[in-house]
Amino acid sequence: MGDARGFLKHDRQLPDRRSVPVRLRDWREVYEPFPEETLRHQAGRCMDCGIPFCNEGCPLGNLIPDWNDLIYRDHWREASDRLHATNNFPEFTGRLCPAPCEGSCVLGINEPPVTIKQVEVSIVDRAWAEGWITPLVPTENTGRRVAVVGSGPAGLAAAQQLTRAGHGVVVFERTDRIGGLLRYGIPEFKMEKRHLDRRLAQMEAEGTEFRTNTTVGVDLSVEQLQADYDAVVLACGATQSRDLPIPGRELAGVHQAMDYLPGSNRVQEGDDLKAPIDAEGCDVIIIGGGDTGADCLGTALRQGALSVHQFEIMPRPPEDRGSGNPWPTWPLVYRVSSAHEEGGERVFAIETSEFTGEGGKVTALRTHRV
Amino acid sequence: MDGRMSFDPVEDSVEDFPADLVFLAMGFTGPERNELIDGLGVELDQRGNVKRNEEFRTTVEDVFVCGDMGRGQSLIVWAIAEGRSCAAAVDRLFSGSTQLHSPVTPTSVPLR
Ligand SMILES: Cc1cc2nc3c(=O)[nH]c(=O)nc-3n(C[C@H](O)[C@H](O)[C@H](O)COP(=O)(O)OP(=O)(O)OC[C@H]3O[C@@H](n4cnc5c(N)ncnc54)[C@H](O)[C@@H]3O)c2cc1C
Repeated sequence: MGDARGFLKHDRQLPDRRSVPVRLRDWREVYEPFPEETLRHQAGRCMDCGIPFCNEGCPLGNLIPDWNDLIYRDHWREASDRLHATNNFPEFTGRLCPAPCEGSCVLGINEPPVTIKQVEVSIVDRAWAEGWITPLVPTENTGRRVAVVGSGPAGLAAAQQLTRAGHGVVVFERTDRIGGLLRYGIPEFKMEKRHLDRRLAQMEAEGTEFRTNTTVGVDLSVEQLQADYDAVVLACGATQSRDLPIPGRELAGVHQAMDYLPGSNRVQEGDDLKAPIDAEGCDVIIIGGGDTGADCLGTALRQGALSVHQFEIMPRPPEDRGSGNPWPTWPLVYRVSSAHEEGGERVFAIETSEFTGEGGKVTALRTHRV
Repeated sequence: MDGRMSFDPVEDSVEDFPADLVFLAMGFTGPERNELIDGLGVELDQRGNVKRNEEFRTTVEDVFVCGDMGRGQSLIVWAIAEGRSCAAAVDRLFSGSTQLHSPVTPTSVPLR
């Protein structure tokens, strides 16, 4: 452990967020850079616990106390090696993860937890900037061939691991670009796609092959797939959206979030000037209080919506952990995402019973409280 | 009703909200049932996700599944963890053993 008294000297601190009017215009990620010295203090708050629950809280088993200590001691390159030992893509999780590790950080029993996610993203960003992340080209070729179907984080992680183990890996993706929800779904302001492209370039240099615009089962038959490869890894996601089968659902203007969000991803990629569904000048209502809803909120505000409400059927969560939700479980508390501080109104414990409209177009939602 | 919860309405709380655009962001029910799933003939579990054993294998020989397609709607960190573990399982099929990191099993769950 670096600083035995770090957590007594330093409070938890996170980077500032850029000013709302600026980020609503440029669509870029919302955080200001974090000074290295501040990050060192934050990493030094880690107590290197005898039993680090953060390890257990993280599904990847990230070696969190190790790299916190390395950052405290200014050994950035070793920290990057240690981070990549368990995580193929720390630049994705360092930006997008809700960080169950922080929910199980032992310091969190009676203090705000260590800023683990901020340390993670800082390590990997520095590693890319320094040129420490290079292709790990396999030294042997086993002659085995694997098809990975679907190019989201699961397919990409499987593909990178198998390629590095010396197998011949081809990733098939039905859309025109690789990345799954990281590409089409998660908005640019949560993760700029350059981070994805940079990692994909590493994977290609290692020998992973990518085939886009290929729907397996349609453009490539399953018989062909099974004949051509020694193993198949399915990683097609859970892409079936839950619907709301209430009166008026068929009215124009009522869309699934996943029919909306990719349009803005394409604008940011430079494919289109304007998204097919654009909220400019509209009164917008989002049904669903989770991450996907918050992504719709941030997107609608950037498009210039007149008003945005986000409905959630559950009551507003408490500010602090309830008695039935103790450390080290995931804290079910009220969360404010970056989109929530940009505008819009959150409404809790509300249910929609009907969409009403005029001339086939939605004009209002009939609701009641629950 | 398609996995949705039902709640008791509060009396006299009906309210209309004007809207030109509505986005449904109520989660995901599982993988799409299409030519891929039907063509391969992989079985689904009770929740409609692709069924697998502890080695990430589906009910069809040499076909594995990882990420949201097997676990249901989850997180990026779980997707990466599953991808890594599934790769280890594939490597084991080829080589009999593996040195690849395998952080989770298909039945691992968050701390609770
Ligand atoms: C809007 C939104 C925001 C989210 N934000 C976050 C977040 O901030 N943090 C977080 O941790 N999680 C977030 N999630 C959840 C996270 O994105 C998913 O859990 C994760 O992407 C699942 O990864 P996956 O690889 O299993 O599948 P996916 O990312 O869904 O990728 C599946 C891919 O398979 C392709 N595919 C499907 N069928 C075929 C076929 N027949 N042939 C070829 N390709 C096919 C699809 O086109 C897709 O590209 C979010 C989800 C959504 C919808």
